[in-house]
Amino acid sequence: MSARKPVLEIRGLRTQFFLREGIVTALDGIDLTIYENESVGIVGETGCGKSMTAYSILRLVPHPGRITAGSIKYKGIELTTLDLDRMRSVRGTEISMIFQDASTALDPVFTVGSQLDEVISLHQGIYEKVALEKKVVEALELVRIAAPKEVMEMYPHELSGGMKQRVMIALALSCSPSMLIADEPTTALDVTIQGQILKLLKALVAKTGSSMMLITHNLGIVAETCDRICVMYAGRIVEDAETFELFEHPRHPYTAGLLTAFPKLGEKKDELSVIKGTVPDLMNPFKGCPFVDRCGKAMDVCSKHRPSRVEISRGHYVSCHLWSGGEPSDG
Amino acid sequence: MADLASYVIRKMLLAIPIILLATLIVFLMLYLTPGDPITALAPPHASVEELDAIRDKYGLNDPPYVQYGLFLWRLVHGDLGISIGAATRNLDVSGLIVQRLPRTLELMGIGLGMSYSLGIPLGVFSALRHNTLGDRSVMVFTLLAYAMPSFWLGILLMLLFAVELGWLPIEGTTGGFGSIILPAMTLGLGNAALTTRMMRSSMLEVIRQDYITQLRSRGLPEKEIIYRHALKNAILPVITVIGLDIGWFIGGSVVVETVFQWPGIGMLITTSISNSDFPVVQGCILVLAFFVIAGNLFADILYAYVDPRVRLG
Amino acid sequence: MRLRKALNDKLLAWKMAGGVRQTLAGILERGGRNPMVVIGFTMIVIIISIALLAPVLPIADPTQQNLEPGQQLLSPSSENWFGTDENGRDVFSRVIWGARVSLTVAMVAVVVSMMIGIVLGLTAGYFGGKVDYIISGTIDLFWTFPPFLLALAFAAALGAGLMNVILAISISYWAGFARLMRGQALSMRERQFVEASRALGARHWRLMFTHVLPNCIAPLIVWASIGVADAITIESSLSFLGVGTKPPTPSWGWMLSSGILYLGNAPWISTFPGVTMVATILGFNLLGDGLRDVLDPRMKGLRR
Repeated sequence: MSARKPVLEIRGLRTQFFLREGIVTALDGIDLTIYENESVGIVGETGCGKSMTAYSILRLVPHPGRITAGSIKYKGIELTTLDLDRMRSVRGTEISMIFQDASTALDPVFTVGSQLDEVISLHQGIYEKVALEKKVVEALELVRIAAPKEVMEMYPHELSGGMKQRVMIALALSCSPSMLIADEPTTALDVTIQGQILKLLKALVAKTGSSMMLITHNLGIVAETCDRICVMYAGRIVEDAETFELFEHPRHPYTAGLLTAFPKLGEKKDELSVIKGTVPDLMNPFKGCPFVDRCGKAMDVCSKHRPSRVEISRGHYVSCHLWSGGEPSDG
Repeated sequence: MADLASYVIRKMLLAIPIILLATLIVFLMLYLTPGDPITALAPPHASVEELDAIRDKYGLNDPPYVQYGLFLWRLVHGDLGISIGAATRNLDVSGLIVQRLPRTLELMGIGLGMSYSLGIPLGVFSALRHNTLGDRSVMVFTLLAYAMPSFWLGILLMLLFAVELGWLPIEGTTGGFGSIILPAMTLGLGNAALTTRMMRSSMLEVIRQDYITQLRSRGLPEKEIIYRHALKNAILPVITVIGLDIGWFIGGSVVVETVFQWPGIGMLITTSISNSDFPVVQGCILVLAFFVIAGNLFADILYAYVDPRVRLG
Repeated sequence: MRLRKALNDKLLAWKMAGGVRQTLAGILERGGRNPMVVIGFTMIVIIISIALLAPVLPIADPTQQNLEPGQQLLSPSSENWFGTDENGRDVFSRVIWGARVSLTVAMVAVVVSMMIGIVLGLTAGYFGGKVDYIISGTIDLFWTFPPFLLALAFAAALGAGLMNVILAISISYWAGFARLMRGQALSMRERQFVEASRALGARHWRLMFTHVLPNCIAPLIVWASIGVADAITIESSLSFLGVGTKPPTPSWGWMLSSGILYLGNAPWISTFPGVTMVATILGFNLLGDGLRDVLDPRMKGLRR
């Protein structure tokens, strides 16, 4: 593992939104490393900052938010300060993203083919019509669309949900990026289609050898797809471990709560609501651990000092006073 | 394309009852009019017998539904009756209208062109500079332009460009291209304000959409995202109302033509009203109503044609 | 059983009344923070107060002609703030009295067309079926034509005069209200509390007026405000064309139209009523647009 090269290294990333009502800290000191050929799952409740992590990496944080601290290094290049032109050449070719709902994330008034054309000609410099069409067909075949020539001529609204998500994946992979970010790629789909799309995604990542960051609130999906899992809570990563290790030895009380709440396969319930209490208001800065109000094992120190990130076994990181011996951190 | 054709035909069929109802209302206008229209036709101090003879001649003694039937029958044959105004007595109403129509269409065409070539860029500008001083200034301009009744705007423009600066002729009759600028501007400004606001809100709506973020995530240049993708999406709702704008322009043209003495249908209505030339008023309103309906039909068709999402079925 | 039913009805009505109060309080509270609403509202209040106070204000008689030589077309002075017109009448006083006429015409016309719209829209939306089919057809017909063109047609037929103008505007403008109410009634009739009271056997009309109507207050206020602005425009345009209010009634449209002849040497005759009129229209538009933004940003396509 130590021999693998890191593709993405995030250190102390903070993203804040400057609203009229106050400052919302959406991401508060994210540390995350993704290695070559690795699939990392980011898990957490709605609003914990999973998607914002993805947008921050691509520097697509919507107004009035912006990255206020920390560093994001992609293959050694610092992205947070990269000029916009070079950032643009990173987007799509180096790091590419799959969006949650393909029915709103595809331009409704352009055909599938012309949307692919645009990206391919921009990044691969192919402008010649026949060559371009060949590339588009290849991209659609890659995501196992049966009749690529017909689909090319169609508008997004003419396709089913699953087909739209396939087109989205084709768009994301069309320039063979080294890093793929998939933001809840199956949430908007039927359960049967969900499985197909995940399998496809897994196979494609294995085939192209790219790294993947899979964002989801569904533990079942990451368990099947990812090598490593990061659990996020209130804009922080509270635990980071390899999949098997995390499921066997959850160390953070929040992770433990998630796993007990996690239903057996096929059981349908709102898995995350079982942990009592609510997420803290991100508008008010808090000194201690954000989970303190909901934690069964909270100590005095938890509400006073922010827990530091400790490696409790190889590759298993936790931010919790139970494991750091209650020592205050500098952050 | 076959879909589009059948869609167009269906929309046209749907317009028929509206046209019929419009003719009915215009026909009934005669009954709303206080006083007897016949007195205008008859010589002064005509006897009861003479009046009755004239009534017979014009079919005014028939029951109303027979009169309406005849009215429709003549209408289908392009016969809108004859003028009873002093200056145009016994002239064909349809002839009078045909003579005036090109001037009105010319004015409306240039007015429409002006309003879009001002409104669309201004709306895009405003949206891209949302909440800046530029955006606010544009919004204040649109509020003012929209609050100006067209005749008052016309008066102001005349005062400025014709009376004070002497650049352009006051009235539309003097001819030359210069004479159409002020009336067309007057007619177009209100709609330019509306177009600006529509374009702005449409653009603001579009640039918040997921697909714009998606396009950014592909590394496309910002110019291409805004002027190719966002603009095409945002302009759809704006251009689909061109047909409805025609209705707006028709209403406005009556006033603007009167202000500038522009010899189109609008001015014909005003002069005919003051001359109590009722058949001409009826005919003009019917023709204008027809244009409004055609404009609506055009809007429906354009909408289906430009937006791939509209189902034709 | 009867008692329970009555009680239940009362409870529902009470709940709705609370809803109305809440809606109004909400409108006031949220509107008060929107600059457009505040500016528009202030302009309207000032103009309406001056118009209301016209009889007690120390101003000249707006119809009093002064045909003595040298009293006509006087430029603005401390004596005649807005100058005098071609008949030696005080323009300032005519502008103020004109506000009474224009505002009365516009407001009465909007109230009448709102009533027509509410009744027809509610009936169509609530009953559905054939009733809806016929009423919707009529609404669509009227909606197809721009209100000004319709008003012109009716005014041309009816002839000039205050009542005729009000009538012409009312029958041209109601379709917008009717569309609004029909849509609201359609969505509302499926709502639970209406279902509940229908199950309890409340009368149709009572249902509509006590349950559906209060929920439409916000959009109705927006529509009415914009409607008054439109009605002032229509009234003045009709007067300008000679089919609106008749002289000597001091209406803004008529003043502008007669002032056009003196544009070169006495521009104040048409400028002052024009500016006042634009300010009034602007005030109502600001209030309406601002409230729409505040209450429901998605309420689009209000005009046309």
